[in-house]
Amino acid sequence: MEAAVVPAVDVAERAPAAVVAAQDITRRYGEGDTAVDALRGVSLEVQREKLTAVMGPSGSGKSTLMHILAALDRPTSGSVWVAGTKLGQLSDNEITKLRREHIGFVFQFFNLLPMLTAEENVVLPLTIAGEKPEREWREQLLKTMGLDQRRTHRPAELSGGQQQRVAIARALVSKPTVVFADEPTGNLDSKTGGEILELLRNSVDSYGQTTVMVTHDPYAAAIADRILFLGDGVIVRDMPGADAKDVIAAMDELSQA
Amino acid sequence: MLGVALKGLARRKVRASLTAISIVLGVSMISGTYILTDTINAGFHTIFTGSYQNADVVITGKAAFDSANGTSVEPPTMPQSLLTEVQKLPDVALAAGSVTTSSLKLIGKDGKVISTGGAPALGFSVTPRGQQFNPTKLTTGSWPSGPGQIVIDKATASGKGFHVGDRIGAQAFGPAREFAITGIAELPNVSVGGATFAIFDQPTAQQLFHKVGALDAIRVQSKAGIDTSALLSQIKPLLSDTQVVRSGTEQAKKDEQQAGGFIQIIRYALLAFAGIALFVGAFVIANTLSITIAQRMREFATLRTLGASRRQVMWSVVIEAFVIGVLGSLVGLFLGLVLAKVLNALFVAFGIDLPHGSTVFATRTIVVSLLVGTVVTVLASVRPARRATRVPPIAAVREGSVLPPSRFAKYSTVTALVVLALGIVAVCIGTLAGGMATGPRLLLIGVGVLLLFFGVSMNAPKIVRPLASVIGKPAQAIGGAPGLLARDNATRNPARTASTASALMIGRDHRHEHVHPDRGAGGPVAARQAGGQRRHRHPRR
Ligand SMILES: Nc1ncnc2c1ncn2[C@@H]1O[C@H](COP(=O)(O)OP(=O)(O)OP(=O)(O)O)[C@@H](O)[C@H]1O
Ligand SMILES: [Mg+2]
Repeated sequence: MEAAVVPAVDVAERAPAAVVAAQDITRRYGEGDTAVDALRGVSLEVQREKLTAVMGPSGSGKSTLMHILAALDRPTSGSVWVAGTKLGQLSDNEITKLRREHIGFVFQFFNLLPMLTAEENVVLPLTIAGEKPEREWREQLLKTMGLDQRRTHRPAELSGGQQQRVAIARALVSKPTVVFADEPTGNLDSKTGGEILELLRNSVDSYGQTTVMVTHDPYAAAIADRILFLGDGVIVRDMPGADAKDVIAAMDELSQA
Repeated sequence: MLGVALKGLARRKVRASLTAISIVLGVSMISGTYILTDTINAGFHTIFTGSYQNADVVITGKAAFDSANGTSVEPPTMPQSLLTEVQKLPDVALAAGSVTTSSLKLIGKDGKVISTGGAPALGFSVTPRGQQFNPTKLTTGSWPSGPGQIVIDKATASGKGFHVGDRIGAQAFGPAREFAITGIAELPNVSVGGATFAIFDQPTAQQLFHKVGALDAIRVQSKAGIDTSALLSQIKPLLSDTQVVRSGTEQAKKDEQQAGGFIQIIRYALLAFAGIALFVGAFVIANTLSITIAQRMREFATLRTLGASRRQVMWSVVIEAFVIGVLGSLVGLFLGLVLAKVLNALFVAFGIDLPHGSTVFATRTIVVSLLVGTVVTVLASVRPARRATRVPPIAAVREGSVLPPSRFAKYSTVTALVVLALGIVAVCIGTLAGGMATGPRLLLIGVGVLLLFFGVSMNAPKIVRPLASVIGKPAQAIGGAPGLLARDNATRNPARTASTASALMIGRDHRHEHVHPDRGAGGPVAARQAGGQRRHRHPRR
């Protein structure tokens, strides 16, 4: 799937080598007196086959950044590339195609379809794309996510942790270029959250799944290969993987600055 | 994707059925109208073809003019001598005359005229040699022969308690006379509706109907191997210009057309009601779908983030409507069978008791009902479906998307109730009040039904909610704790619920709400837009 065609449109422009790249993006909500600058010039490159965590205080623009990188929202200015394609002028259909091929999403509130079973939810992205899931890959996913016994259950019959595991399997099933996760453990207790983090980490290690995860939680950030700290709409620190203690120290340091 | 749409529909059975109700009603009116009028037409057909059975050609008087609406002026009679002339023709095997009247009143045992409720009270003559042409069959007794004898129809006999050997009064134009019942007869395979008939021998009939020496019709059978057209050309020279000869089938067709004109009017009037019902139904469906779609914004947005195109989202809504349309139309089609019976009973209550044979369920009825019902539903879904395509993918992670107001929401409860009440009053007066002409009565009922439809549509959201709660109870029990929690959640915070209020009108199948429990967080977007303040939205706050 990584080998998917890149639309000819932006080939002429210098496409960054990174799987996801942002160049000087800003995002302003509203206008006039009440306008809020959620992002004020962010540039970054997401490293292939690595887990990148985005941290920062509430309102620092983490979700906004992720929505823009995942093509759910458009920046007020600046450019974004996903898998070498510049998002800027893509049509709705082209973005749809890009989502199918390159982007997986894990939501804080799972966003499973209530009428579908766990297994149907997992393969939904392929169903939508009109593809048949590879049996082996599907089975492997269900097994690693511990959903083997739960495949015919509906979301309403699953615990929060199980639902999030379905959601992760769903994000992985089409082997996207990058998986985005916004507070994937935000709605779970710390033990279940820990299991989810482990699954995310595993998907990076075993399948080389490039992942970007937004989190509040220093313990969650500690599983990352790289931690970006956002503050007031800009990246205030870019830190390699660290343990929770160092993450907390960095947070303290930033909040005092 | 098709599977996803259908599974979603299966999950919202209650809501989908409520959506379908409006289409079911409209379609049942279409199918009921066709079934009823077809059945009546078939009844007339049976009667008229029966009344010219075995007659190759028929000679009748020609009315000076035909009134267009089918209430034909009674044609002039012809002299009995014509029959003798016809009988002499070389190619004629058999010819027999008859006299008829449509105002032969029978008098019940209570001494009162037996009411036909507006239907004809037929009287006609039989002759021994004309028995072949007689459409009626004796069930008991024998045919009348002599001035004091009568045969009456089976329905009247059993309804009013007359038997062979009883005496019964009959009156045409002169004073009432007493007759002895020699037999009871019926028209096979068909009900004549409210009509009665009485049969006399020819001289008696001629005297009673004031047609002595005259005939209303002469039925002729040709010798074997003789062409009808040859017979026609032999007879034509014998006729004056107030007489006309036609083949038996042609004459039957002509009589049928006269009766059919009236049925056609009934049919169009009823179809017009069906049209109105469907029109209103289309609005109700569009409205319900819009609400459902507003409720499912997060679902559509999630589909978009998973790679669904706008087209796919659109189709999923249209397919859902298509399935609702097909199922609703199917139910409506068969409900039409019941409605046809109800309508007929209603007609009878108004004194319009029309003939009918066995129920006619024509292919046309099936095709038109299913097609119209489905097409209307699908068309009604187009706007909501297009709205669904406009749900932005980011709605998957963001709450507070604005719901379109319900189409009928702008009407106040009072207006809605007044319209409904007016409709009920109009229909009640129309059906129950005595001493009203049929025309104004039907008009009143028509207007009443229209008001009822609008009233119901305007009140639908208020009616549907409690209805859904009753129907939804078992579903909720099965849905269990998540459903209950979600509902409690929704009712505890009315301000938040307000944004989804119109959605709630349609049903309370909230089990799907577990996918977005953050609704409970209040209206962050509103807060943001108002003050642009930071809001801590983390659940572990
Ligand atoms: N749809 C919106 N309309 C208006 N303002 C918004 C909107 N979304 C976000 N904002 C504002 O933009 C800023 C950044 O919000 P964002 O949600 O990206 O922060 P965050 O870092 O994800 O916060 P949290 O940790 O609370 O999730 C905040 O000030 C927020 O109020
Ligand atoms: Mg956030």
